Amino acid sequence: MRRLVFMNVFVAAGLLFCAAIAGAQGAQGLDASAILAKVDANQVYSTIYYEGKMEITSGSKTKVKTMRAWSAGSGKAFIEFTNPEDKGVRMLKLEKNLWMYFPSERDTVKISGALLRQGMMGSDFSYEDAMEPDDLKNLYSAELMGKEILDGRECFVLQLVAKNKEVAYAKRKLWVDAERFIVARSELYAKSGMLLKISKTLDYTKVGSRYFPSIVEFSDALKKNSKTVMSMTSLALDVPMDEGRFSLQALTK
Amino acid sequence: MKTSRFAGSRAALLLAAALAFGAATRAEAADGISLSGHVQQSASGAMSFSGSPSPSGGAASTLALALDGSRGSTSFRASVHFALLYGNEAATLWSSLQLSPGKALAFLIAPAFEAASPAPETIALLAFDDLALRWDTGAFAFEAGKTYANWGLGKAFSPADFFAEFDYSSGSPTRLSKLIARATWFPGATSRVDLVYDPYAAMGATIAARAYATAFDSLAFSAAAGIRAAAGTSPRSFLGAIEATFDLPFASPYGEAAVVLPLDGSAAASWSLLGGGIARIGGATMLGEYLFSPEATTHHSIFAQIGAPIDEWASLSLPVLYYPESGILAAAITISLSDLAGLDLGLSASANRSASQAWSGKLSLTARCGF
Repeated sequence: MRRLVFMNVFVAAGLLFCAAIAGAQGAQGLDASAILAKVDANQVYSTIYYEGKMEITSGSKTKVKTMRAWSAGSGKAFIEFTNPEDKGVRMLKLEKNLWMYFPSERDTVKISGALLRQGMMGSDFSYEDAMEPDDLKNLYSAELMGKEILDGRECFVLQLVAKNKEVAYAKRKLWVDAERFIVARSELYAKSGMLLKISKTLDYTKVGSRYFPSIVEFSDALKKNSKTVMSMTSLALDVPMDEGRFSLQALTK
Repeated sequence: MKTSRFAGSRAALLLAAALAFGAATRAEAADGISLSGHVQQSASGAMSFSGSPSPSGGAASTLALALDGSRGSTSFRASVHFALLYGNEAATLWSSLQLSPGKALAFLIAPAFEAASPAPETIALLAFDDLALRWDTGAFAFEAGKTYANWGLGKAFSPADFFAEFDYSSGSPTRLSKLIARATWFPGATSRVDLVYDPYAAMGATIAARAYATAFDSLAFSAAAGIRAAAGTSPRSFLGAIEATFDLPFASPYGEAAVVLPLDGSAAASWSLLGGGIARIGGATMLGEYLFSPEATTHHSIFAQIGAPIDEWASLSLPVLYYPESGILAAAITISLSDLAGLDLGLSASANRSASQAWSGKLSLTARCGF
């Protein structure tokens, strides 16, 4: 159980990265649904591979975790940690199932529902965050609240309400870059209206015609002086990927 | 009989070690090889309350190394640790070896272990923790060496894991690695069929197969069957087990059922049931397990553990192991601090009650530096 408390992995980073993908298109005359559709459209990819770094800061202390990640659509993901403390720890997501592999015991653990709300590795992500699909238009009804200037850039402000109870966050507020359709800032709320999580895009990189967030900061609103910064050090989109990568065999290899 | 079995085990272990390190050498210029490890220093004070209270002290210095590598479809892992144990740390190891002499097969120990001898003041120990080679071909994988079967769902007890042997000495139960050979077929992304052979099992050489699958996003289940060879007074037996876990939003109950059926009809079948669950309330994660084995010496076994983060860098763990019939009890409270000036620190206080109802207590401090 102890190892579950200190679990050292996240798929969420990759998925939340993808939630902020956008393309450079004009935005005049768009309603909330169309804006969300454009954000979603820019999230579509067949496969993605990246190497990433996660910096977990609490107070004056920071932990650094590095990883390699593969993903196909929003349903399949495989992450392998490469930092010395967690080297060889892997995570496999297949639709709504999540497994972790611990090399020291050669043990595969299916992450149970009771533990999905647990923060991963002291980060500001939960396993539930990792399990959330990134198709916002299907999950939420959107309302355009107006425009705001955020960090010098014009953004649409969208209010999202979940269409069903199975969604992890009942409400979201998004600041969508009006030119690039990147989710520049996102606030995630409980049904009661309590603010739970905040994400900010700190930097981005252009891959082909897409703008990808390259550095994103996440914070858990219920924790004091805590944040997690995820950054990509390399990225490849729509690359050929062995389907066998997303299997228990690959997880334990 | 035991001597020859252990001699065979030692030879097999050394062969596995040679193969693993041979693979390591060949893999050096290939896909990847990595060396990791840690240095750990612990000090402890203990007090026995049987008769007049008798205090004792001890210390342990440990260097642990793990070598991992892969080349194409072959991967290996080799891990060892070297330890110098003093005082009650040496006595604790000596007592565990007296209870389970089979553990000694994975040790090079000085002075040499003699079950009838009293515990020495100082012990030097080289232990082979993990030495295994794996080869994947298509949907099949083959593995041999000192490693883990990891069947069953139980964290402290697991009747469905025919190969499990638990170590409870640290408070939190851990499975011990064993010399086994395994063939695995992965028919789908989320299913697997294992065939495992343990030639040196204490209860008799065992071969068994297990099928694991998931369904409906929240159900995981498996079924296993095998044969255990006759050993000592135990006859050749059929082994059968099923296990299942179901995910609920805030709790995950799980269960195991196992049966041992003597094939010569000399005794009735014996069976065991395990019920357990993991729940999360607030920031705390709770685990509870109850094992019922009506035909075993110990009919009832209970384990519970609560783990809770104090903050991002400190956590609290409270494991309790209890056997109601004998009254044996082991409880501990551990505070762990991670990455404090580059060190991981652990402060643990434990209380134990033996079958003779004698109480003892122990306070230990551990500092670990990984690399």
